[in-house]
Amino acid sequence: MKRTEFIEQLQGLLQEVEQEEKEEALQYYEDYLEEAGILEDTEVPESFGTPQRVAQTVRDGLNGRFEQEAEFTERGFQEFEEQKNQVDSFGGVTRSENQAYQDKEREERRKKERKVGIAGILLIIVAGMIGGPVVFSVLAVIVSLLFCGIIVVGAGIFASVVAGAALLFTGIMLLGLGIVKLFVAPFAGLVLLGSGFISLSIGLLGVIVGIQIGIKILPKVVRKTVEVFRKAFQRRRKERSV
Amino acid sequence: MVFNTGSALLDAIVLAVVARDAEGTYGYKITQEVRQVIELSESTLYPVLRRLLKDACLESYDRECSGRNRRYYRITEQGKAQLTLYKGEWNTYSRKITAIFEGEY
Repeated sequence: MKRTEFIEQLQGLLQEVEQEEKEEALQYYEDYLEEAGILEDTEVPESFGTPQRVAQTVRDGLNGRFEQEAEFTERGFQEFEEQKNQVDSFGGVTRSENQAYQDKEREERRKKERKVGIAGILLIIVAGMIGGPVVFSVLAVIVSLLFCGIIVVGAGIFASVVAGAALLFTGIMLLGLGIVKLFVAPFAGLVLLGSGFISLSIGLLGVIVGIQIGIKILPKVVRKTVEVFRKAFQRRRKERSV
Repeated sequence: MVFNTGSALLDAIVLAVVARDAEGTYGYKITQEVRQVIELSESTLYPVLRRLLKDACLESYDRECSGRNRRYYRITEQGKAQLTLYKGEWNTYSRKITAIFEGEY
């Protein structure tokens, strides 16, 4: 690859890099190649690396990353290999052993990274173990309180309907008795009639109020409760997925 | 080379190389000089020089040389202080490592 081509490719690869940084980098590498005696239409030696690799070096630098592997040149590595081969001929460290050592080192580094991940998961589990029972008991208390509430409200409604019905029945009976009594003892009959009407109206009121509450308020309470629980569970699910 | 050169050590080496030229020196020359002691790809030093510039350990200026502008790097007072610190650290570090190799610990 000729120098102009190399620089052009590098420019394309650094497209997303900030203008000033890009110009600095391109200027540096162009100057560098010039100093190295590589003119515009001279081939850039392979030892210099590919534009991709140079672009990666620039980007890593901007991100504050420093790849240790990036230090090894193709040439550096070649020299390294040659040295190793020399060692080989003297029966020292074999190349594959050295390779294995490098692989192991890389594997260990990767494991360390993974360990952090496992530590994070462990932390979440421990937090869950400590926090779980607390959350669970709080939820249980809320559930039982709500249950009690529903039962009390339900019982109240039931009682008012029953009492209302009883009063209605009493009222009707009193009215009947009053009408009969009216012919025998007019005053007592009127008193009976009057108390019959009062009983009837209170009973009606009780039944109506009870039914109204039962139809309008109870479903609302139940719906609200269900909603609260659904939200709580959704949140928990979200937490788990995080 | 079996040992990797960490970021701080590379900074120290570059500062030391640049400090040798009071007039300042340029990217290609710095790279070649550093390459005499550690294995280094030709492209590696750019981010290091850029960082040292940003940290004000180095300063740059353009000087004309055979019809072209060449970018020169020069060590600053802050860079010198940093280099002194690195040298001190390296002394302690290398002495300890040597001692453990020689079985003195």
